[in-house]
Amino acid sequence: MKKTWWLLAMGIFMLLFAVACGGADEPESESNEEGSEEEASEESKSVAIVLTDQIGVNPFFEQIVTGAEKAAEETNVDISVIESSDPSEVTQNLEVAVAEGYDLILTATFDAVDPLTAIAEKNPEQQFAIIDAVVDLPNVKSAEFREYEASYLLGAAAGLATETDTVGMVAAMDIALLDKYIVGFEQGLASVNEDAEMLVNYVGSFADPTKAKELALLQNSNGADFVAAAAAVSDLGVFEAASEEGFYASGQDIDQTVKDPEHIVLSQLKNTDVVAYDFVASFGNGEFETDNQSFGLEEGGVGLTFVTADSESPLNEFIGQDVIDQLIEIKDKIISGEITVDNPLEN
Amino acid sequence: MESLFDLSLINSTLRMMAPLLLAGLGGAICARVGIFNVGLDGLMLMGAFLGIAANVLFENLILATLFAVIGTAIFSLILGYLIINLQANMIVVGIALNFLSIGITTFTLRTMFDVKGAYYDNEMAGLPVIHIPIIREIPIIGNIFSGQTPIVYLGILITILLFFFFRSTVLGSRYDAVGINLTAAKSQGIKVKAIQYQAIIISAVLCALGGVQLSLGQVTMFSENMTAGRGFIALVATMLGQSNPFGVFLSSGLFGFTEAISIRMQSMNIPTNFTLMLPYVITIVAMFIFKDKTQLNALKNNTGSTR
Repeated sequence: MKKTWWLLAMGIFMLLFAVACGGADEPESESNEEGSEEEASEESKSVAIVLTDQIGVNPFFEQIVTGAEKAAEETNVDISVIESSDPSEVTQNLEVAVAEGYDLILTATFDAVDPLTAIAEKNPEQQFAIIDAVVDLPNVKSAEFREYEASYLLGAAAGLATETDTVGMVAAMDIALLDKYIVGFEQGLASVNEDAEMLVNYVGSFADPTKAKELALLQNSNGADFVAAAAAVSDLGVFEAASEEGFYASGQDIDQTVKDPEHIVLSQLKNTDVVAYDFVASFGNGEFETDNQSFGLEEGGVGLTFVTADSESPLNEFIGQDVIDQLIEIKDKIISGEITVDNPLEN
Repeated sequence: MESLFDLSLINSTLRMMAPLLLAGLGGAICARVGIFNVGLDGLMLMGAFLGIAANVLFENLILATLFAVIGTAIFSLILGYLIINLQANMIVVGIALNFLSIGITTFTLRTMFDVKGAYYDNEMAGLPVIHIPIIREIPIIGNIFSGQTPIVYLGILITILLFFFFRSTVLGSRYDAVGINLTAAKSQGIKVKAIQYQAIIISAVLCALGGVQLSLGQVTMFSENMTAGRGFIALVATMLGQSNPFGVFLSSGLFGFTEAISIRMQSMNIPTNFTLMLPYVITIVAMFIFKDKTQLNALKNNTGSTR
């Protein structure tokens, strides 16, 4: 008998817990205090940002949130951020967001494509948006990036600057998505420097700086004087290796050169914040349209420090102004279509 | 091939194995008193975080290490109280501790430093690398053994100390007695609970040192969940080494070596997926060859509890 009561109590407890979780699954929310939520639903629109992983895994997620929060403040939209502890939780979090009645649900990355497709089909009235992937449905707005164009520039920069004719790249995982970085880089490198050899190593995880550092050290001992980091948080390990051994490195997504301008000489940019800002602001202003947009060099969605955007840090001698001038020419050719960079995901 | 086997490979092996060795020894000492410590990973992560946090506060590496060691020891008391006093299931508690540790460190990282993902400051000093004066001059051995952080040498020293502790001291035999048969040990007047607490605290201290080696020795930063499962590999090193300090040394050496070599093999056109698999394949193969009774005993002791 005692056991039955125990089970019943557990059952009730779990039910309460599940209910509480459904409502309280927004640890990052800033504007969403208890009181303001109710009055907000009448006055202003609400946007939920469902991230496919923990926010700290990738600077990319931080950018989305920063951009969206900025737009939200300006246009008086309420924002809640829902993190997923791993990509398998995305479906549940999207369902929760739909059930909570947000006006717009914003998500990002290829991990969200399948869950979003399923849920958007089930809820044709609900508006969705996805960044960095394409979902072709009437109620979903998509934005994809042509990172390979910026990678091509980075590769060309490496090819022009290297003195040992060996450059390295430390990538997070051997997955198709990262080919957008690796293949573009390879093509850019080969286009300016036929003798250059490219070393690619994979960390096997998005968050293991220790191993990334070991890989960068190895590439350096094999002759690479420039190592491009493309491994999310693990990039920091590459930067540290560079400052210890005195070689050069480049970062991703945001301007990483400010961290250590003597060794981090370039940074490949992906202006997710601009896109997130654009999405939320247009939604706040009532100009939201569900269509597919593609952001490349031409649209200013991707870029490279010193070439498409200024940096707070000084230009390193290793790169030099000549190289930058040549890169600007290459950039113009890519925009005008004279140089075509292959999309590695289409082949 | 010459790029695969060179002296820096052994140097890199030592660096890779140090955190595994320390945490593995921590696991071994727990196994000796009949506690199966699954929380190694969490304790290591806590040590890594506290090391960085204290280094930022005090700007002193010795204080930082000390702070990490003491903090982790206090944290491990949760594990001790639940397992020893409340007789809770060791595996459940250990796993809970790991998740708790991930949560606490991530949360504190965000509130304290206001960064997400990783804390990094290129001004911050890491553990110094020691070049041993005389050994450094000897051609081959110098390359292998010189130029590591103090914690790496400490790890080797602790291995030897623990070996003699279990072999020739009375207290060491008492530890074994508790692990082999708890009731019998109790009947002989051994303070069983005190010994189990000691073992957990020593294991936390060792894990903290391993964590500090990760966050202040190999790199100088903290990133969320930066142990990346190394605590579990250390657990396997404990089992594989049959909870004997030298066994743990050899098995963590094996893991360090396979990790170092898998990094090198990537440069040889061997598919990455294969080389990343290597350390784990070797673990499984090694488990077939060696069987460990101590861990089984530790688990058996636990079967009385259903919580």
